[in-house]
Amino acid sequence: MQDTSTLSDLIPQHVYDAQWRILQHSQRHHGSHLLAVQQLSRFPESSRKYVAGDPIHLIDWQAYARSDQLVIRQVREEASSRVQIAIDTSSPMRWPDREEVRNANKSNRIPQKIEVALRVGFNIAYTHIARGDRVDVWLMNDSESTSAKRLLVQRQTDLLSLFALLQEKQFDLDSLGEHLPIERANPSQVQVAYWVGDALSHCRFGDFLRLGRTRYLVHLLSSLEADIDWVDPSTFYFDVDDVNREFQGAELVTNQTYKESLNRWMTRIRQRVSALGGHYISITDQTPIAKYHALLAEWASGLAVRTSSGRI
Amino acid sequence: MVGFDPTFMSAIAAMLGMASILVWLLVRRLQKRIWLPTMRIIDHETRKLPKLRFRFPHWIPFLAFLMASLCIIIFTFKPTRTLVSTVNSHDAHFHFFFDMSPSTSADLTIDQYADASVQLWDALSRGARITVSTSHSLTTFQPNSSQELRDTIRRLGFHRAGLRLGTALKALMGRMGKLDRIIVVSDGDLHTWQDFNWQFLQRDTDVFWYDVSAESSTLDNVFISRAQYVTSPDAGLAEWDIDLARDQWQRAVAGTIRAQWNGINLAQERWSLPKEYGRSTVRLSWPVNKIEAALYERNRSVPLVLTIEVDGGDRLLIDNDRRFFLRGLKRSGVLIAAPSGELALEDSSHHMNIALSTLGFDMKRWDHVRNKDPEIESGHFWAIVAGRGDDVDSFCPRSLTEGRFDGRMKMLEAPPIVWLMPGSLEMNYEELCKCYSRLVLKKKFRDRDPSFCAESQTRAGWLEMLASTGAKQIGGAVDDASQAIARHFKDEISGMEVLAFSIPLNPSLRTGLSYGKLPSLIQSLLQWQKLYGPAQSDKDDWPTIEDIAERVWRDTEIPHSELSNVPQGESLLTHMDQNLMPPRWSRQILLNSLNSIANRETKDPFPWILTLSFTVIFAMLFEVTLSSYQRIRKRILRKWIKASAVLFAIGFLGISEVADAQVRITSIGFVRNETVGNLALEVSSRTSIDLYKSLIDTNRLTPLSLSEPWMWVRSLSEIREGKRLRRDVVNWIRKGGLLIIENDINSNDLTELTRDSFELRDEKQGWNPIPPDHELMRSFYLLNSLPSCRESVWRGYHFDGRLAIIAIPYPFLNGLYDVPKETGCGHRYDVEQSTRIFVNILMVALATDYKKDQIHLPEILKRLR
Repeated sequence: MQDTSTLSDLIPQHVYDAQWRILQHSQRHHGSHLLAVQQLSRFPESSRKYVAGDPIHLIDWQAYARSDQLVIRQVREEASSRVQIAIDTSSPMRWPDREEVRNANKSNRIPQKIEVALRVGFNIAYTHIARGDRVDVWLMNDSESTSAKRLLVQRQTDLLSLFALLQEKQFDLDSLGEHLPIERANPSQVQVAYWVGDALSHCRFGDFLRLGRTRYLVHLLSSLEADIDWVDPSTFYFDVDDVNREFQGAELVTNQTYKESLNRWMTRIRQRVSALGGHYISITDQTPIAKYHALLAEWASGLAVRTSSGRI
Repeated sequence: MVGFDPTFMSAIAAMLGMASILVWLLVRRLQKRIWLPTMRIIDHETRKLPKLRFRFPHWIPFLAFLMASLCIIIFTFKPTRTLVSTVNSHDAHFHFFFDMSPSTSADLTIDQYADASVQLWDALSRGARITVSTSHSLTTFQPNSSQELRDTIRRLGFHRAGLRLGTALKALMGRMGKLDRIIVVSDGDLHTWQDFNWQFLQRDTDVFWYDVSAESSTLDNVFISRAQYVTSPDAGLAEWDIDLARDQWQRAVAGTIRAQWNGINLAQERWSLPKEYGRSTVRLSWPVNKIEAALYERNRSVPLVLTIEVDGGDRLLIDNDRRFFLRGLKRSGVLIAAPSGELALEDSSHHMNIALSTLGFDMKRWDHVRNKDPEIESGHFWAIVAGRGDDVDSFCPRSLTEGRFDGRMKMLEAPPIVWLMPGSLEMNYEELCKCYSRLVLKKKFRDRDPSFCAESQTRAGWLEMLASTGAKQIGGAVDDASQAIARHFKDEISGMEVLAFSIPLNPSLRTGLSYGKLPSLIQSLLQWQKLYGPAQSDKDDWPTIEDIAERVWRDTEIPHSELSNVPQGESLLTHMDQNLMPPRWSRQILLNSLNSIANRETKDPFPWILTLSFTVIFAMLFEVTLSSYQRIRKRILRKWIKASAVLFAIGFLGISEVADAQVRITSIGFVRNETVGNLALEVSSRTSIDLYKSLIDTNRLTPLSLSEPWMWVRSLSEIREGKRLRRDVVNWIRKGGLLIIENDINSNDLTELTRDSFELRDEKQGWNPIPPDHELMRSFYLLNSLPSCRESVWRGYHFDGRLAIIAIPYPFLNGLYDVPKETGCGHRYDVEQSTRIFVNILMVALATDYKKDQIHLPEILKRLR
């Protein structure tokens, strides 16, 4: 049975990498930071052709039986790395703000983008903490120019209890107030930097991603933004940044104006990330968790060097 | 006939209606706006759209609104239907109103007036109900005969008060209700008619004017317009300036003016008004002592009557006498003061007496009251001066102290005002205190002097005692009672006011009062106590009633209303403009015409109100009904339709045959009644396809055979026309059908069978033996080979990239029947192999070469990865 749950239901414990469990039990010095040197191993992580001199006992005989090729397994050791994850909490992320939009032509209730961003951000953070990495989660807001807010979560239990609190408050950060364990600080240089957001706000994700040696942009849009078949032709749509500029629903739908503009814009974002040497995925609240995991797995295994991983 | 009466309100209503319709049609473009953050990424500019746009509104409420607003606008036009109703004099109610104001008597006597009234009565009294009222009162009556009317008119006579018809008829109509006709019997003078808006009454009542004025007269009307008393209060001669006026100035007139009081002739003078002179002033004077008895207030109600007589006659006699109150009246008072020497030099009270006299007081002086008291009625004002060494009984009048308790004081017109003052500063105030206590304190001090007076021997003690009784301080400072000139106390029992002075009222250095200051101080105090006032105003003059209906009809308590002076408006005898008067019926016109049956136009708004109200109600119901219907249709009916559609679908499913995904073996020329139950079981267990367990066998080709995807044939005769395939079979194959021929047929026949039936593109197409890598060999099971029969092999005809005809060299299905049969090849075939071949054929028939389609490739690759 195919798992149909989407990112709207994602929780931190949804671990994406099945192989990782094996690695975790291997008594290795672990962490997600891959060391440059690859070592031979029995574990089927990656393989290469046998070269004379390799230990014979590490030949994958089953593979030989299948393919008449001598194949040998190898792994790269990992070390604990510093990871920082930025979750965009600016005003566009608080969309959809009206119930009539959230229920528009959809059988499911559509969550706000910030909810999905928090779910994804916490999921990534949980996974990295579980791998033994040091993780900082940042809440980025375009209205606060001086310094960012860092969530004081270092352990999995902190993360899970805060996530439970967020779920209880329906991911309304404002209602948490002082219950939110934060401190003001400035992000520093790390090994891995994630940015989870819609890239619509004035928050400069490029500056943040440059702090990481490995850079990931999780480009999150609402499914209502990705596909606007729900818009009413007689209603006008505007953005709070420029309230005088507005578009009629009919104009957006009939001329493909919206679709083309969205595609161009997403391509630009992808190219920017690519120019930074980073990785890019685009998700919505309706992205199946399985697909999301598949993409993250590509990243984690280091296979997905391409930044054009495509939209889900 | 329809009447409209547009008003300013109509214009406003029409304007609002138009504005509302505009609002209906004009809507703001930004009717609904929704925030969508991705709008900022759209990189092309929008067209400028107008902020407002026209949109035709939903027709049901708009139509209802139009109807309602139209009705309201029409309402403001006050639409009416004009009705012509006939007034039958027999059913009608006529009212005669007799104007008996002074001006009416100008040219006719009361007898002539009565005669005119009777003429009117006689003309109209036949049949109609007639009521009569006069300007004397609001009383209406219904005379039984003309004589009764004549007597009533003569008995009442003309009144001296003026009349305003507007007020009078308003009061009259308010009491009598609806009248058909009002006939006002009047002379039409301006004073009477000027405030009467008879046009307003004309809507419901016909108003007529019965003119009783005479032909133009050459006589003047001379009257007294004003009289002014010009004498100073203490003068011995009473002088009056009297203004005479007249209505016409064309000729010189002269006459006599006479002043009378209570039957006493006071003065008489001649006067004259030269030609072109409208006014003249005459001075009348007489010695004051001539009417000494009149100079006291108790005779105030007897008026001074000024009468003029005109040589040659006057037009209006009733205004020739005019009444005035007497002026220069003196107030009587009592002064009790022991003489203390020569009047002007030594008597301290003399100067006070002089001052009071100049202020119009006639003070009777008593040296002492030891033996006899002045009567309590002697005067309103009492001044008591306690001399040095006098005992209380010598100056304190018993009549006042007793009068407080025996009720005599309450019988007076007004309670007395008493001034109690010391004769000099250095005196024993004890006796003064005793007098004060008798005048103001309780009854027990009437016979027994209070003990505290023994402590009030000095002025300070006197002042302290006054303050302790609660008397109000007059003069001085708020915080310094010693500077107070007097203290005022009002006796609650009798209402008598006592002003107890702290200083003697005589000119002295020690009291600070000079000869000039004393009278003004006394005047101020008298003014404060309302004993002295400025010259009497016109308000205090003899009443001149301008409007009898306003004053007398409502309030009969007005004094001297019977003897009211004639108002100048009546005396001027000015007539109203004839154009402003109601229809006039004079004595010269035949009065009988009044009695003729008249038609009156009335305006009836009821049908319009009814029609418009019904329209508004209809509009309302229209909107409610249609809107409700639409809502029901939208919300409920749609659900019903959906529900019924589902029910219908279920119902149809219930009565329809079961639609199973089953495959039948369609065969032609097979033995009937053969079944393939075992094969069907195998097929369903190995694949997801259900096979029908019996064959559909027909001897001939039928449309049913051509509706299935495959067809098993044993004899070619059924599918052949000559040596070729039948056209319908060819078409069926073109559409995708798979033909399976179970017979050993040589290749030539097969070639002949399909010749020219299909367009072959290359050599691979056409009849060929089925190779080992053919789709038939691997469509489900991987088969190594197909069983041959007597060296004949399986052949396949390929067309359009697929297998279209299979030629099996033996009766293949024979081995798969539930009861297997011989195949004619000399040996039995393996059932398992045959089953596998059958499944593969089935797959080819249903899905052709599905493996070649590679629809499953991504999944396979994914599995491999």
